[in-house]
Amino acid sequence: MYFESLYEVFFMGGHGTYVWSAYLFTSSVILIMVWLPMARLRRSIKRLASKFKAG
Amino acid sequence: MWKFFHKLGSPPWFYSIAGAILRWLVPITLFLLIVGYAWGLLFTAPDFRQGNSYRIMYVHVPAAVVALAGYYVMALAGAICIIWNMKMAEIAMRATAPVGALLTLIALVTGGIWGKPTWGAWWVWDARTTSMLILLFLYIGVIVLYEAYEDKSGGSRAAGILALVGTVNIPIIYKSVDWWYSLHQPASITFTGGSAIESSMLYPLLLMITVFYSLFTCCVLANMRVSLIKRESRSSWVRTLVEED
Amino acid sequence: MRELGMLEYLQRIVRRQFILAFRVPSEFAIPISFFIMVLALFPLGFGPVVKNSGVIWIVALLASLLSSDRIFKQDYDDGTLDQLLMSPQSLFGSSLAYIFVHWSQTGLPLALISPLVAIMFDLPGSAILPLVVSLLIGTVVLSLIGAIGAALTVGLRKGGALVSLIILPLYVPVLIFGKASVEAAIQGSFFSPPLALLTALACGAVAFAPFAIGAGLRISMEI
Repeated sequence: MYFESLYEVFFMGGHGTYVWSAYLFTSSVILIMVWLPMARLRRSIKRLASKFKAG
Repeated sequence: MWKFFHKLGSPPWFYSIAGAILRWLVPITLFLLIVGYAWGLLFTAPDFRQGNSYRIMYVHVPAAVVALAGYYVMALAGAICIIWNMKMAEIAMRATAPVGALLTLIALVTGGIWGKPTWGAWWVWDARTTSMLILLFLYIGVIVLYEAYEDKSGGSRAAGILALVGTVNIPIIYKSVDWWYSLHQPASITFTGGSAIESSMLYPLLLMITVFYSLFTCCVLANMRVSLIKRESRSSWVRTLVEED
Repeated sequence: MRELGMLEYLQRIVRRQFILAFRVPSEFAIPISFFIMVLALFPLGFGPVVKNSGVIWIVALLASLLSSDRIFKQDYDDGTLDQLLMSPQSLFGSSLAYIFVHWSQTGLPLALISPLVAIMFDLPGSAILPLVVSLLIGTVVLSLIGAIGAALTVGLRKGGALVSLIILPLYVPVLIFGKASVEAAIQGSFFSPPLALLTALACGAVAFAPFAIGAGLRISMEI
């Protein structure tokens, strides 16, 4: 571990805001990218299931 | 060999194999992503010139690399879909475009955030930034074109042609923008490029590039499964699959 | 009925397109008027002294873009394009003929009028020759790229705005090299290197773009 305290981890010598916001943005886009197709797949399967039951 | 390609073209086979791959690839990738985050954020020494802000490199560079490579993957799928009219290539091309566009967006946004402490501005019209912005619009053009077609297969082939034209153009665009930039000699901006990267910084970077490639694969496969099931919703394999579920 | 040779066939396409174009002579005035009108907006926006030759190139690019979505539209609507695709002659040649006509309606007049614009923008006399030559060559590439976009979208109802989004990113190298050759002349250095690169782009585009245009037209006609 490079940093000595938790405060240093967040502060990062004044660059903390930049670094953490960049990582936060990347993580949220990645989560959306991974989660969205899975949710869409589940939704389509559900819709198809109800359609097959009805028809 | 040929048998493998024929199997690749079969929707039910592809759907189940992609599902099996995703089942272990997604958790592994997310785990390695966290490892890479921790490595890059906590366990490497700061750059002697840029301080801690260089840590953004571990998300910025992989996103940019994979975004650019993704365009070529998309164009390759487009070429296959034009030449052999293969359904699976159509689906692959459509699945790749939004993922590539989002990765380009990540590269642009993190690049801007990195630019503020390093260059003193959120956005600098330098060669790479400008090329990446153009790449984003190339991706958007492909997406918009295939969405505009009502006929799926025609739209995919049209978008495939556009992607191929873009592929020919990317090196030209990149070179021309590079050359344009060298004409406008920058005064106050200094780049970290040129100096060899140290191995303690290189290994986490390589890990993150691998993670992003694998993320790209996961998202493309997952998108392909969605469009497969929508497209084949009338076929019997989807019916059995849904009823088993 | 005898079979037409390649050149004769192309000649006929070009003649037909020109006849159609001259039926509405005001069509020729649209790109030029657009060119000068938009250029007049720059001093209005930036103040009376615009010391930048780049605006001329940007507006030339927009003027070419403006008319590019109509390259095939009329012939698509009246069925001529169907005939063209069914003819035994190569689509490569006929698309080049279409582009030649489009270029002589947009690129050529723009290049011819550009010395006037150069004077209006107070460019030095040495910059006029590179401006005209770079516009002459560069607009060929613009027309070819525009035709790719037009071919891909001609079958769509809302093609117009789509074309600009698709092809504008591909215009970037033309803008850079075109502007650079004018800029080099203004600064008194050699303008031939960027001009040579622009010419190389034009050669490459003439060689390869018709394939993309032909493939695009085939897709558009299937729907």
